Amino acid sequence: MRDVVVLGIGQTVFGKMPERSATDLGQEAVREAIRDCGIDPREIQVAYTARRFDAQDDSQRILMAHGITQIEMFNVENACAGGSTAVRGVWKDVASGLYDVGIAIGTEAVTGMPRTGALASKNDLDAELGRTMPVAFSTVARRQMELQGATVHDFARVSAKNHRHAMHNPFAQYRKELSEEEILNSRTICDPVTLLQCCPNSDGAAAVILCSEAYARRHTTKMVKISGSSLTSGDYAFRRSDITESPFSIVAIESAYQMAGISPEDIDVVEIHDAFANEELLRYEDLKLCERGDGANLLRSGATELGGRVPVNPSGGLLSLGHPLSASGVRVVGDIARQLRGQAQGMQVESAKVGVAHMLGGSVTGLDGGACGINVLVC
Amino acid sequence: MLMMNSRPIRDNLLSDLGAEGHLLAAKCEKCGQVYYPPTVEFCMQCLHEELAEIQLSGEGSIHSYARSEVDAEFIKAPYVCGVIDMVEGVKVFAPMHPEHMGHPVSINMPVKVIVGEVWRSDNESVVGYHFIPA
Repeated sequence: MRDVVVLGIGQTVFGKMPERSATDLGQEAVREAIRDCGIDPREIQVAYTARRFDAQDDSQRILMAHGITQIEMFNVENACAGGSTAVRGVWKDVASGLYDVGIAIGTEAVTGMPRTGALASKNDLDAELGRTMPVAFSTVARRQMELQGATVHDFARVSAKNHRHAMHNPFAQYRKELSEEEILNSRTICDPVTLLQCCPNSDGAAAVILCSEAYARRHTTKMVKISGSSLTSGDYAFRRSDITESPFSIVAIESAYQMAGISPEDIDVVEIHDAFANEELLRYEDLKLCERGDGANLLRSGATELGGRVPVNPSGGLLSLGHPLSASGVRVVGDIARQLRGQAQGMQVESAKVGVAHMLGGSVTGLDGGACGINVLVC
Repeated sequence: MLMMNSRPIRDNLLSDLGAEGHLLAAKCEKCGQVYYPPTVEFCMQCLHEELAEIQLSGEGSIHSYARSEVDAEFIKAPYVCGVIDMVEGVKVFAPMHPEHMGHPVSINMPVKVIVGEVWRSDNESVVGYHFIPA
């Protein structure tokens, strides 16, 4: 396998844009990614586009607006990890030497759809019995509180942190500082989860152009490489004794760290799936930023704030930047690349050299999750 | 009065649609692993192909729970639901029976899972299961 470079990054603003189509959003993200690296789009040899809802030949529809036709194109769905799956696809094709340059796209237009907000898996037994996403994360939160000493104030602090971070993000759906009190006093969705501890429904798209090192040298001097990449599917739920555990997430993380040859203490910046505020604490533990059960203490230490030891979600995360499902896995790779280039402006983590882009998703009765995708970026 | 047809929420999941019904599970005859829902054709642990159909006793304890203030696709808010550690070693997700909604729920609380109507649509009664305090 050869090194893969993140050459171009682009995204739309995330937010409620019911008048815009997933195609239109995807085209804008691609335009920005091409503009970012200045390549001739016709040199792109392979494309993967992720979309969760109403997918329809999305690579073809998006890329035809940019002069890209008659190449190998894939359209993928993998719940919230769809974007990671698209990135992984391009990474494999470039790392293996099959192609020199490819594009990963994630796009989603959900706020104009009927029944948004439910977003439960269709024909899933537990979902039919009432296991919505807020229910799933609320049951996890209860155990974090009962067994790990986390409090609702910790959950509110995660959300306040990510909203504060998003104040500097021009792409964010919400650029509004929120106090912990406002977050806890917002409408109860599923106690202890309040509205402002949930990521919003969002429309938006993101794209990244990946290429070989030789190709990248012709276009940039800022070599941000993917040094570790993994994608792991969920395991049988009967194998885990506690619903706060996500073994598949840990497998994906360990595999990517090993490939990259890094230890958790090498990491300067992280973007993760924080669909619900309490979830962020579990991911600290999965990523080995702290010991199991110690996520709340890591948060309280301030380590994961901008300016802390290992800032988590300086973009604002799903909670404040927004979560167009399939776009998020692509977006996190773009955000980490921007950090390592030193171009993150108000969100910049000082001299960041190693960053991790994490995304996970899926809810399947009988499994502990759908998929988790990890990309370790270095410069 | 309209005739109400009953249908199970899934086929091959309940031993009976009445109050005496039990949840059906599959148990590996070699390693003893229990599967719920019993939608496996061989044992995912040891690959043994002989699985026995068993009835879950219904006894268990709360692994965790939630009170939702927003509707699910078929269940109207507010509703309480939980993940239950069944004595047979599997976890079952179930809504709490609406008649017991006022009863406090806590982790490790003993509960019983009972078969009954979970919702109605048109002229159809959909039969699934709830948990109630034991």
